[in-house]
Amino acid sequence: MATTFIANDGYGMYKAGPAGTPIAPSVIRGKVIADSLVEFGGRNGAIKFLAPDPHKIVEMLSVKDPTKMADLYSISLDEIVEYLVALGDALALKKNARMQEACELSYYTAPTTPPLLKRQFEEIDQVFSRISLEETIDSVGRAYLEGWVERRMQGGKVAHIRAFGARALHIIAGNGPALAAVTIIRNAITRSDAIIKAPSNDPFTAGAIARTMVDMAPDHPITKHLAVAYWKGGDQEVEQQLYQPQNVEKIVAWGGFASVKHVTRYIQPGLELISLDPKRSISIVGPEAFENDASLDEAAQRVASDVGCHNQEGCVNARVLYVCSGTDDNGIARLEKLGERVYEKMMQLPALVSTPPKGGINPELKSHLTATSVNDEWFRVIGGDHDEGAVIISKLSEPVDFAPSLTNRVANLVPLDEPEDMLPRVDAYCQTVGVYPESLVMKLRDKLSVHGAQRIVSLGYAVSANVALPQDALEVLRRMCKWIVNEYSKPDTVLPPWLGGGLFSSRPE
Amino acid sequence: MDKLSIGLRDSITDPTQYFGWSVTKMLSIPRAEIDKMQLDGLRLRFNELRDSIDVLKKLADKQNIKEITSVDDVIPLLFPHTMYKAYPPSLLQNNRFDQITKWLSKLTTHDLSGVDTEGCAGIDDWLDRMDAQSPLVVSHTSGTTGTFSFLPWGKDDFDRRIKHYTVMFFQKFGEPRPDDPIPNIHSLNLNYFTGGQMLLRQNPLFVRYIAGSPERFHSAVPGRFSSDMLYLAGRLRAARAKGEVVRDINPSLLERMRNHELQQKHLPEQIQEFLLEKSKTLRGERIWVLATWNVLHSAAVQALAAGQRQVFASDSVVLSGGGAKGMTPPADWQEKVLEFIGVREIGMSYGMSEVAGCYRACEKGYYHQVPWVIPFVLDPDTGNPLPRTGVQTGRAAFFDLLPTAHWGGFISGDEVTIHWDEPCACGRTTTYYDMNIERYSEKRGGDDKITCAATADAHEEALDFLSSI
Repeated sequence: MATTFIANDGYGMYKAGPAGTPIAPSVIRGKVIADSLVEFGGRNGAIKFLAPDPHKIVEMLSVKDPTKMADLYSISLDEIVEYLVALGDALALKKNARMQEACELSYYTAPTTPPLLKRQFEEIDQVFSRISLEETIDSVGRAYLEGWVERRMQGGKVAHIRAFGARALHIIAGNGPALAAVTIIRNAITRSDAIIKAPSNDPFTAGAIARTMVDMAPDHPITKHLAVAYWKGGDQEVEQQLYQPQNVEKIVAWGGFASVKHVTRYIQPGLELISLDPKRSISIVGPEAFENDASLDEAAQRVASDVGCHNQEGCVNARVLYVCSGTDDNGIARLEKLGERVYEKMMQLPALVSTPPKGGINPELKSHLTATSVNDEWFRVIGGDHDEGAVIISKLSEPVDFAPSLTNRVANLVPLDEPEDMLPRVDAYCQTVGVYPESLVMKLRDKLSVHGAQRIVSLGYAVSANVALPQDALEVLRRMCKWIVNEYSKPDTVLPPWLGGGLFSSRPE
Repeated sequence: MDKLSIGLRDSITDPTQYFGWSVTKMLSIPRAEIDKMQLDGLRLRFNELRDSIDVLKKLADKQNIKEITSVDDVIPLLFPHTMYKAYPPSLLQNNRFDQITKWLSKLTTHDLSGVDTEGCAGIDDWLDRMDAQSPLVVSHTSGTTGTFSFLPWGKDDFDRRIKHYTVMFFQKFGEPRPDDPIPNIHSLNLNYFTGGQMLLRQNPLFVRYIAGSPERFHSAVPGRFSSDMLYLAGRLRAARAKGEVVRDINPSLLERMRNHELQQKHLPEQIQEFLLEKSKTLRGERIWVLATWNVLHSAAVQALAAGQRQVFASDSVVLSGGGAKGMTPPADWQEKVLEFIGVREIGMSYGMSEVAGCYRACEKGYYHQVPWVIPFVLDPDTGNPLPRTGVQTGRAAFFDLLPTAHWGGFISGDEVTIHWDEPCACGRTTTYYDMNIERYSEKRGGDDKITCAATADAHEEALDFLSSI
């Protein structure tokens, strides 16, 4: 079947930046600040924008006095849920001019393309649905968020445990508008206080949500426990002042060295780092894919989905896919057939989820594709001549040397004899592993986990996320809480230390 | 073959000889003649090499390119740097030098089938065998990304390349050449004598064409820099940055690695001791030194601290160029070097391993091209050529007409500003670049563009981060 692809103009109109210089106001605890504006960006493809001078607002960012968290405990979790449900409704793209503006601007700033972005802005309200919020609350344990939960310990002690909120700084990623929403929801549910540092590849979305909160309920505790601002990562004048235990107790840092290296020098007792590192994701396709044409088609569709959806811009997207085709000549021929079908399917993904990449295939990767394509003893490159994406077939059982650079809808298929053969390639950078067929999941999931993988999914569903589930092997929400324990001990049930009771409580004789 | 084409062939294949070993002659032919020489030379190389170099043929067939009518026609055939490392890395890890040799042969016209790679113990061993059994002088890159790129220069081509450095380094433009173009000068090499990297491969030829004799070529470390050690160090470092574990290393190799790292740690000291010794034995003599700014600077700082100033003859020749990656030179580095050595200026030049062109900075502060290398400036994103007029800033690319046995087309990672039309006030007739040349890789995306996907940028940053601690 001949494949027609859309010639890629790289969404050229969004390369230069919008007319005029847009403003990203700071939103600090119910107040919108849009003065003392300073220009940022404008280098290396990032658009120019104006934002309040961070040196002038840094003083206002933190809620210094921890007792100011008390107002969050005057509202119930039900009231928090009501607030968030109302916020979700208010964020509906159709009726929210601020979100419409953020969406338009994201066409310029985001690594993905307008059809994907519009869709993602339209569905942001889904993470605010009541049922989704309750599920998120359940992942922490509703009882712990609302009060003290009793546990009777061996040895006679009775403990009460409660999850309290913390004052946190969130350095969020900019490869999807939903991340700002998820951060705000997590902050509200845990009764925490958040300072969100916006990234340069999305300076507008978090602010647009925060401004909607101010429009909706300017004096509400949840509104008052959020600050959104932009400063350049590594700005020591801001960071030295802000990243201190008296201002911030936890830092949630998305992305890798760009954010973390600026942060690590400030980590000290009283300041905890929750690091959501950069990740690679892979897939495994079992031999069942080659049983017949229908199974080949299904496997190819699912592979294309894990590679192409979200334009391969997510940490969840697959870049290297290990395929049990066999490694002899017949095996490679099978693999090539799958590769051709994957390419076709990828070109046919609906524009809501996948388009030719913004800006085409980046020049460095293209130069790799050129060199790879002429070394046909070891490689075959399918597509890639029209900035649309490509599939690289490795004929040896190893990924291409430049596998860490795979992006812009370029994937590498690697042949295997047995599924277990790929286990040495799994490490802690490996987040999502898409597996096909389902029967292979049971065989592999323990081994994958021991090797470092963090999230095993049905092939094809890599981009289908649920924020209530563990992320990067962390229970992020539970990590965001401070788990406080109150222990009751009575001499008739726990041998007192002054009578010789040891470190680990025991019952009196 | 007619006289014209013999002349053309000589002008590009052995330009030093053709221009009579004179820098003045080399850089003062009228621009119209240069343009003609370049187009005719390009057509000559294309016709000879198109079907004789396997990967070139594939690339040309794929794009249906059968002839060259203007220089821009060759742009789709310029090799990106990735061409020189597009082999499966496991081949090198597993000492599959039979396969590596076979791959390399696809990048050259030379037949490498006669090279015996049986039982080859590592890269050092392989390079020795290639030196002994093939017409190539194979060189490789620094390996910091975890693997090597290999360049397949033919020995003859390489010899003809290095000759022109003699002329570039030691003659003053505008003046006639000296009777003996070989300066026979004491050469101070602040490094190992031999090794697999291009700058070490040059040394034996510098002995012939600059020092004139081995006794006048002084190396801080007279021995060989092991390519196996460099490769292993790069592999371990890159793996660390990627969070990977390298599992399959021979324990004896690891032991050698430990010793190697110890020696590397002491290299600055060793260079210092070497310079101290030469400052005694060659005091007042005319010397020549070529090194990156950071090596010269740290040597000068230490020498000055030890009271060594104006050590050598004032007509000595000090040459530098190119950035030490990621570091910024202090404002007074040149001053210190001049004070230590006793010369009045440092000659700067620009070049790269892949291209036979040493671009000296002229008196007006521009890097001048050599007539046998065709310059191109490309749009950094699309790869399309920018106009060959006026002043243009973009990605530097080249067609090196000198090599007869490999393809001279190359796309660099550098951003340059070229002056096409306005003749330089210095009197040289070739096109020229501004001196502020940066690598595109160092102009990476905005500081806080954050994405949770672990792309190569993340690893580049990891490498930089690890190397800074």
